[in-house]
Amino acid sequence: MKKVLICILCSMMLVGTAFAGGSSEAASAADSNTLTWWEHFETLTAMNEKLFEEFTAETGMEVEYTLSSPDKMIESLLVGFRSNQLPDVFSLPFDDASSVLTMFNEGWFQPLGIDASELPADVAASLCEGRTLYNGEIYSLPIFSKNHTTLLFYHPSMVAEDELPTTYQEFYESCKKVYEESNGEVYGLIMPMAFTSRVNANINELMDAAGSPVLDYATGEYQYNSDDMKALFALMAKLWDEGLIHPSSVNFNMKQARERWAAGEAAYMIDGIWNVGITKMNFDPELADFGVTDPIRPEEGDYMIYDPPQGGTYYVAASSNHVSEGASLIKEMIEEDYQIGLANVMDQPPADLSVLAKADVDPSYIKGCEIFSATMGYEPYPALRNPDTSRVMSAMRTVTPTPCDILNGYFAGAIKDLDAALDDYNQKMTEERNLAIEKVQAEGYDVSVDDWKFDDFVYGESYAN
Amino acid sequence: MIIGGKKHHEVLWIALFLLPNTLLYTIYTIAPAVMTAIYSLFDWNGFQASGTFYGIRNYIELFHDNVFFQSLKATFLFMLVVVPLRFLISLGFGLLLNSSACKFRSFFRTLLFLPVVTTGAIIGTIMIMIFDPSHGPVNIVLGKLGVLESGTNLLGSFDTALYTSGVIWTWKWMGMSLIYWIASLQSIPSELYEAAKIDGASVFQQFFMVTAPLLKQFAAIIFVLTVSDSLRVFDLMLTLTNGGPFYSTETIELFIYHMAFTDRVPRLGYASAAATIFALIFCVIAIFQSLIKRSREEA
Repeated sequence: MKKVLICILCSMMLVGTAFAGGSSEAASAADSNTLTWWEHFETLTAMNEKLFEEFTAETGMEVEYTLSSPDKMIESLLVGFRSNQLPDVFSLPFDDASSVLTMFNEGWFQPLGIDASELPADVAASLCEGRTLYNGEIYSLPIFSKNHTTLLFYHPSMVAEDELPTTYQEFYESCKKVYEESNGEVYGLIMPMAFTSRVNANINELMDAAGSPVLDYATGEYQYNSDDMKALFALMAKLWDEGLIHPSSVNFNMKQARERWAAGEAAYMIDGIWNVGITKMNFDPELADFGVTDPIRPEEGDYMIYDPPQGGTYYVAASSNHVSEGASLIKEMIEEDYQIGLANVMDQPPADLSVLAKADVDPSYIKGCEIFSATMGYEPYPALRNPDTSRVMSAMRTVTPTPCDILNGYFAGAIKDLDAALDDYNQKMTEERNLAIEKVQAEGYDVSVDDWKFDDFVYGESYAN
Repeated sequence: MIIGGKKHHEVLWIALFLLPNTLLYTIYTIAPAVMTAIYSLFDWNGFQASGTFYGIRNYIELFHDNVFFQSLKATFLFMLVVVPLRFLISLGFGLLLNSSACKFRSFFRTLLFLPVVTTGAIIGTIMIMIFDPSHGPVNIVLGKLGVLESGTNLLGSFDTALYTSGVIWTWKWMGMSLIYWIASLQSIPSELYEAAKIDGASVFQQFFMVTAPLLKQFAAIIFVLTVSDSLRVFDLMLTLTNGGPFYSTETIELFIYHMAFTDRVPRLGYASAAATIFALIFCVIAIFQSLIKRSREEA
């Protein structure tokens, strides 16, 4: 009998020990002389490791660095927050102002404890309430400058520079020419249709470039079914029907699409400027021969792509005991040496574009940065005028099928009438926002559709939020 | 003292050996299931530390969600396609590789089992290349045979993606069923076959008169395991199609994952409600199977 009781006690102790491990581990990490750092920028790994080595040599504090893919990063952050095991510093793999504002409201971050007077004047001037400042305190710093995901990359061996397309029609003709001249061996365009959020961002940005942003700022109403949107979808449908889009695009994520584009299976690919660094670093230099140009538009002429004011990149978790150390590392990233290094890896464009002259970068990277400087403006952003609208954005459920799903549905043979699908999406988005507004109003917040209306917005000009 | 025909100290020994497993099962299986059911009653945006009580509104919304119903349809259609395929093909290979007439049996068993130990994510990535519509070997061969038109994307068509994924899944997991079948076949005494041969039974008669009746109990278990596996398809589908195109391969597990982690604003309560409904459906199927099995045994 005694033996049995002893064995039962031993079993319970074993199981108990197994579970106690988790909590003691978390506690020891928080108290140790180690700064934990999670991020998703693969191309910055070498630079950051060097930065951390110097930091450790100066302070004696180790930096535990973890790199994740953007999708894994979101999972890790959500689980880390709920289990109170966030790292000291982390990057956000999305730059959706309303989501970041929601995270601020939920107590994810803490202020860096930096005063604007400690920062270079241009960085201090770029700080914006609701993006990097909350209640006047600095929560993050913008280490990148504004950019978009819709640059048109091409292979000069397939498309001559003086034949680069500007309009939808020219793009169609160029894709057709590439396909026919290669006897069907090379497609016109390759797309990462399985990367829904990216393709949706591309569609929104192409609508900005077309002069029909998906939100009509004059009325505050959505216009996902504008004539320009329908023209873009008609172009894509025509390209698909004539076999000018790589047939595997339906299943490709960004990595797969980029690999196949770099291998010369298609002439064009739409991507952000980091494609220059990733392609140059990962592919044979002969394959990585490419150029970059402006996004296509319905008609020739000036255009503008809109973005909210530049947000932060790295944040210090509210649970961190190492705020000053984390802040000093983040601050180091806006220094010239780091910014030059940032330009050298040709990922996101550095916040200080003047360092491009001192960096060793590909001409296509410089051209991409010039395109951003010349054609990007700040969009009117409801959450910056009325922060409570971020609660509406959070309360809005994802309306499906999204524009990317609709287009992919057409490619896959599930949707026949694109115009009707866009009309339906626009109506559902309007209904969803109205429902979310009602819900947030019922919680006592002062929000209305008028918060999405910006009478003073002028297309072609940057909006002063 | 006697408890259920066993002495008191025997009962304690049984309890002792069951205790660690019971504790771990409770903590890792029962508690998360209960928590999922509780979370399903909350409106919980993933960025929040906790949700607000929402009653059964997540369930009401699910019953109006076309994507949820599409995912249920994809899950059960997938099950209906792959279970008979895996069950019968693995039985065929099992009979073949259990036969003494078959040369290199160990080699072929290993070959067929290899995909089982290969991660689903790797298989998904490789299969995208194998089924590539422009340069994939499957399309080239089927194109030359005149079965497929050039550029047909079997994994990229709304009509064929689920079935193509089903064939790949069956190939990956067939080795597992094969092991079960071989183990079952080896439990049949060889004397029965010798006696059948002496009585002049043909190969087919031996199968239907000796093998099949003795495999019945094993077949029921293998069938249940195959159904269970087919309902839990996740990693392979995530890398192969990520639920696309146009939700045609969005099985319920992918739906839950997308809602909980990859949606613009993750919805934990809603994903938990979907998981709870799926668990209930799974329970109903298990109870139904068990009832059928019991009624057959009684008959």
